[in-house]
Amino acid sequence: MKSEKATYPNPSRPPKKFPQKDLHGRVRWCGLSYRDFRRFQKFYINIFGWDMFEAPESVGGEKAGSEHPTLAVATGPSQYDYEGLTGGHMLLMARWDPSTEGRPELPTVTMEMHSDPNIDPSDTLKEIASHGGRVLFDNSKEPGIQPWARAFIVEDPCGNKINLWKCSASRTWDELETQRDAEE
Amino acid sequence: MMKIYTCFNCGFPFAREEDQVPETCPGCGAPRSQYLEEPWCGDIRKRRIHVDPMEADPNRDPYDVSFHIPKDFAPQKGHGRARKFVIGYDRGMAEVIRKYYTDAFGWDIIDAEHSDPENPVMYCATGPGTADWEPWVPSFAYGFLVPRESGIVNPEPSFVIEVKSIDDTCKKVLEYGGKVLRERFTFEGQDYAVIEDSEGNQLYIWEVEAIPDYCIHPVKDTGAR
Repeated sequence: MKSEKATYPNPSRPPKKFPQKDLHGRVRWCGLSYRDFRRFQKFYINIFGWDMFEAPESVGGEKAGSEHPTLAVATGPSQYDYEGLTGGHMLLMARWDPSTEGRPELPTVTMEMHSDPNIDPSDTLKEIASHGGRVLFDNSKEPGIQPWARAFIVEDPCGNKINLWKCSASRTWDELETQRDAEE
Repeated sequence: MMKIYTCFNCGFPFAREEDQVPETCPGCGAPRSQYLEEPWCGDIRKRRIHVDPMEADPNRDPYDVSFHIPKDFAPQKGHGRARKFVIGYDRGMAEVIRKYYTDAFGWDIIDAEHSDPENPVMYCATGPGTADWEPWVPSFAYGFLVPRESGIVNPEPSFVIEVKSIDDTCKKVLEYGGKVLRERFTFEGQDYAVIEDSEGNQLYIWEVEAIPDYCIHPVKDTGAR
């Protein structure tokens, strides 16, 4: 009798078919923090060969030429806009964390929310609350927030803090992300 | 009057009213003198000015973070790539956390083969995958939900970075001011170790034996050098 294997690797069933053009739940960025910019660079450039690019002020909040820039980091093959080129290769962001006492927070996970503009983020936040999660931060009421910059920090039922980004609708699942966002 | 501005430095296009043009490029931070402008045509996708990527400089200082064409990683054969995430859960909470990520975020979750059925390590697909459950579109990650254990270093949330050699990488980690928090261990037939960088970030490293296919058959030339 043939038994159904339900575990990874090589389960009997294929992975879920995700709906087209909705990036909801996709884990997108790894976030690191640093205290000493040059020390951070030496570590990752020499050990892992990472390529670092200063994020513009609109993304990183630091002015061009800052002594402690927010960085977009290519950890593997990337396109000219630093989006990954191969499946499973993540974008990485690194931020200055000036705290000198104790340790910085552990690396952060950033996930995308529904890219469909017709789905209200508050519906997702309600869903999160109904499963025992909670919302710690919501930037959508801050003045001057661009539609592509709406973000939340939520805590799951086991205390993991996850960043959520309501990304732009023009992103797709299938294409390499060389196409710029239409609404930008 | 609305116009389309395309940055000569990075190629980023954006549409703005003339009195609302930002002083620096939203894509790369270049000054306004770098903008090329054209009249608004109703749809930014129908713009006529497109900027070719800049030439890569083979002698570029790797510590210089100003805008540049990303490095061509292919010769590295999978070393250093951030690949998977690790999120923890409290023992006994497996079904709660499974339901949370399945219902609220649509993840596809299966248990890892040799883990404790009561508190399994869960393999999580967060987007479309291939038959072996590896992601097939760029820029997103699969990962693990792992039960929290006392007595060993299990950083979470954290990430897994591919390396060619755990031993060589650990030596370099020490040399550059990091720590090895957990020596080589085997999970599901794969070898991992846990390191801390010079800044206090804790990460997993994963020894990948096979050269990933993308290094042999690059997806396509997208301008990265």
